[in-house]
Amino acid sequence: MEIKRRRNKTLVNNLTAYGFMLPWFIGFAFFTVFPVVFMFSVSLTNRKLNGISQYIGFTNYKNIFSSSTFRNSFRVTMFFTIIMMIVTALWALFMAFLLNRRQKLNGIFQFCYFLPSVIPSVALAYAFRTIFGKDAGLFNALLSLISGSNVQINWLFDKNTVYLAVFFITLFTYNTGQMMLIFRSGLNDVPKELYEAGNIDGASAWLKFTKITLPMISPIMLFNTVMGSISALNGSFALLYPLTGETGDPNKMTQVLSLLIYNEAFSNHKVGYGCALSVILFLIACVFGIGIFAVSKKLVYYEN
Amino acid sequence: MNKKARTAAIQKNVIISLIKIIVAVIMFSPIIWIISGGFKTLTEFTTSTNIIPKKPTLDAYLYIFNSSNFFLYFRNTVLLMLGTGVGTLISSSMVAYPLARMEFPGKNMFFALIIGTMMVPGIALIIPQYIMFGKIGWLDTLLPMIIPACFAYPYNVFLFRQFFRSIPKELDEAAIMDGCSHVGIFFRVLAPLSKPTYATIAVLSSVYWWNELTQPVFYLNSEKWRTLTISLMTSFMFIKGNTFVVNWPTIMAASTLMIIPPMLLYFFGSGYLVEGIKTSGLKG
Repeated sequence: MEIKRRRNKTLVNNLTAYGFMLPWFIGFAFFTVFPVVFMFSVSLTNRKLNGISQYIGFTNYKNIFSSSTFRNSFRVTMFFTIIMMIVTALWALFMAFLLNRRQKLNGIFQFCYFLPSVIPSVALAYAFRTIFGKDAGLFNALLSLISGSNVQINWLFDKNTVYLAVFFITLFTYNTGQMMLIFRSGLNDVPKELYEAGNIDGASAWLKFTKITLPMISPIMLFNTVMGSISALNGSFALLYPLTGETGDPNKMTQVLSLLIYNEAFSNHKVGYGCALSVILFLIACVFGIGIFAVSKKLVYYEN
Repeated sequence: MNKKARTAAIQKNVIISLIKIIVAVIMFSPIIWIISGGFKTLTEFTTSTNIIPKKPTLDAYLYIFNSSNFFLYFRNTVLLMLGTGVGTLISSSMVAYPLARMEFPGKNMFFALIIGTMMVPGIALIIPQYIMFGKIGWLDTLLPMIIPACFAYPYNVFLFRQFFRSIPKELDEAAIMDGCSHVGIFFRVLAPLSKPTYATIAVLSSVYWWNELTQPVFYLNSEKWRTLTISLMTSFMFIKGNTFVVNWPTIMAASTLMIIPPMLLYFFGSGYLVEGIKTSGLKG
């Protein structure tokens, strides 16, 4: 009798839990599992944008791996993701440092540093298309003023300068603002006693930074940079599509995988091929994801 | 402190303040550029780099308010924000509750799956979803974005779970003693106590959807449901009747209008915004 009642209670408890989770079960099935399976099955066809399709086996994958456009895009994706992570993380750390020195008007400084990251990426992209423009661009005007000669560089369309310009622009994205705030609180959590001890020993600012600050905030930095690489994979489309277009100008130098997928599926009407590319992007994300798990396991170990 | 050390400290402070100001100028320059561009004529915009326009004009704003569908795009964007916001707040907090507060078989596996899906970039699944939503006739409406939001976003589930876990468990235990069911605890104890959490996630979700470009680019086509981000790339892009000349002042004026809400949000809800973003990145 007692056992039965307890069993009933557990049953009710479990059913309640699953009831609460029902929205996720449905969402997971329809908007994650089904699209993944469907994506794989469409990737084995030559489906066109108008829906006409025919089974062609692994032909799409064969074509992808022998295509120089894909190889270029794969390289660009890796390069863009990794360099963007390094550049934005360092800049975010730098700004967090500046803001953590308690001075007057810090609120205004944080506002100026943070606001660019919450404005639409498309507005940012258009602002920089003109700031980095050849003729009436702010950047060329500044360089001309400093150097005294007439600088006329088409930053975003010159293959020597495009990466410089694009990575500069990534300093203004959500990733950077987010990391800046996280690093700020990470820096605040470093025990003050450690710095005092350092002062007593007469350690230089650089020594204190490398021997105290960096080791103390490295778990947070590591976790966030790896996490950020996923959002870079995802978010690069919203920045690069309005900035350099779906063909990734100049000369496909900024055509990350997401832009290539859009280009193939919508401009070239090759949806089946686009799906095969999506499968590859999905697998890349899985590799990054497994990396994150490995990293965060290590972090737990550090904490113990 | 002797005099020498004091002057050194002052010097250091001055240098850091200077660096701070330079960084602020760099970070804020695109925003100043956008605002100033909206008050220029097309000729001035394409020929000079003045920050303060020589002949300030309201033409771009007059065009946006009088001769474009700005208010339609604004309405669509607000509907998108409201639909996704309400949907994800209700569903994600429900899903987070048992993960934070109950014991049941499969809990750890489900949580691992939720974390796992957090890592899947949406862009990888957008083509199959595009075909799927096309089959049920949802393309060119806001439904492909609003409906999935009503079935819990892993990211928001994760945030709610983190916040729920920080509320003392004794409260639930007391409620159970009083004969309260789990449904009762959620609606009468946890949800009311978590109002700041709901506000935080509402703020994060609003900022996200106000700025979102990728999904509207794929799912929306016609004028009817066009959002503001898309309108920058289409309606406000070219001068009337000529698709070769980019109408920069109008783009900048429309961008200025799009910057205002996030700016106001920062002024009035920076606590929620900053707290939410910190929690989203601190721990796995």
